Amino acid sequence: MTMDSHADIIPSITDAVDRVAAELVRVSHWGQSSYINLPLFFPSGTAASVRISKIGNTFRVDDSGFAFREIETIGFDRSFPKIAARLAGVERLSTDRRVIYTDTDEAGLYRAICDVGFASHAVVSEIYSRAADDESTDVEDYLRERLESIFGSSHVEPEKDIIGASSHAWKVSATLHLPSGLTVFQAVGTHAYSVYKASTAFHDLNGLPTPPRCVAVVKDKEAMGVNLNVLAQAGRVIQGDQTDDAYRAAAA
Amino acid sequence: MSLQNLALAQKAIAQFPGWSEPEDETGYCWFNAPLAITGVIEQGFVLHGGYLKEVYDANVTFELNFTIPGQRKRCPIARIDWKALRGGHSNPKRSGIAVSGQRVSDSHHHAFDLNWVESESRMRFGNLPMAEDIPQEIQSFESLLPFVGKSFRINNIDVVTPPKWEYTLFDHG
Repeated sequence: MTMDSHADIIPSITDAVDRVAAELVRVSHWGQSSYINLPLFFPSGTAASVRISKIGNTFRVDDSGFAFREIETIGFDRSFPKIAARLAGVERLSTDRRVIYTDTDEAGLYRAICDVGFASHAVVSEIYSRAADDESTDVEDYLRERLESIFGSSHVEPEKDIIGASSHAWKVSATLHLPSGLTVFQAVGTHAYSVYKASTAFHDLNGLPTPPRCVAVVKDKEAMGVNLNVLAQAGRVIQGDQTDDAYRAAAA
Repeated sequence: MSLQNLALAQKAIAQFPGWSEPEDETGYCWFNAPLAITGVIEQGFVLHGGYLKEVYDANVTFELNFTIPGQRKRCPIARIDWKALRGGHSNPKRSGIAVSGQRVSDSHHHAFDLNWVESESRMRFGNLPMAEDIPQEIQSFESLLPFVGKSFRINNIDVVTPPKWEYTLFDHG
């Protein structure tokens, strides 16, 4: 590398890094408050942010309800008070219905900004993680399309009631009718309730004189943990994005 | 009606309820206006609007939101953030999407088609994670509103009144 090329590259690096670093933390001042955007991203891609206000001789640092807004839009706002209190309590922050906050003097301001920002981010991350566990309906949507494309729509019945050995009617994601027999497909989320429901249904269906083949369809086998074993004791298990051959093998 | 049909249909605000009073803790003002398609108000389908009272001439959000019947879960379908206080938006990396991995400005549109997974008939997980810039010439609430109406296919967006911002003499930005 020549000196000239070095000279060309170094400024471009410093410029680029300086430009990005300046954007990592952004400050704006509005009315009686200042806002700081932190380089912590919510699942929506929005930055976690804090608001700083002066109350007498102390600084109030809060998240301005940004975490609350982030989860309100997906309908999990009622989970905020409990989860925020638990996560914010670790750093001795306070919470109310919509906000995570703390009061501090100037010496503690730096730490308070970091703590509130991290807590705000942690609350949203945990709640979105819970929401992700509740994604079996997404698998169901995917599942119907896959089954119809592989086996033909005339063989697939979505959301079908199947009577088990107990005489309980189980609503399953889809049934597949082939000359070789009936196969029940059930979309299963990672949440324990989803796993137990599918497992119980499969066991009940397995007790029939002519039991159907039972296939659990999960989004991510690895994410199931030991619950995969619970499911596997009651039926076959495939991952939603497996090949058409895997679906055919499961139904065979 | 499917999410895709809700997003693509021509819509009308059935009733604009007016902006709420500011929340005590946050200063957030908002409304949820029911939306009608071909004269029928769709259950759980609203236009949400929001702003912060002290952050004037900025930080306005509009969102199409659908509450799944029988569930508490809500599904954002599209959102426009204008001069967002929390700055630009960072798109995650996903294959096959032009804006993947890009950072967009503080005025951006979480468009339905960027966040819809056609093969699985569902929204991308994570509250509309994909966004694209909106035209730079939108520099006022008055110019934002028609853009929202056109983008969301709402034919009477002009019933939404301007925010009641609290203007101060302090510098900002």
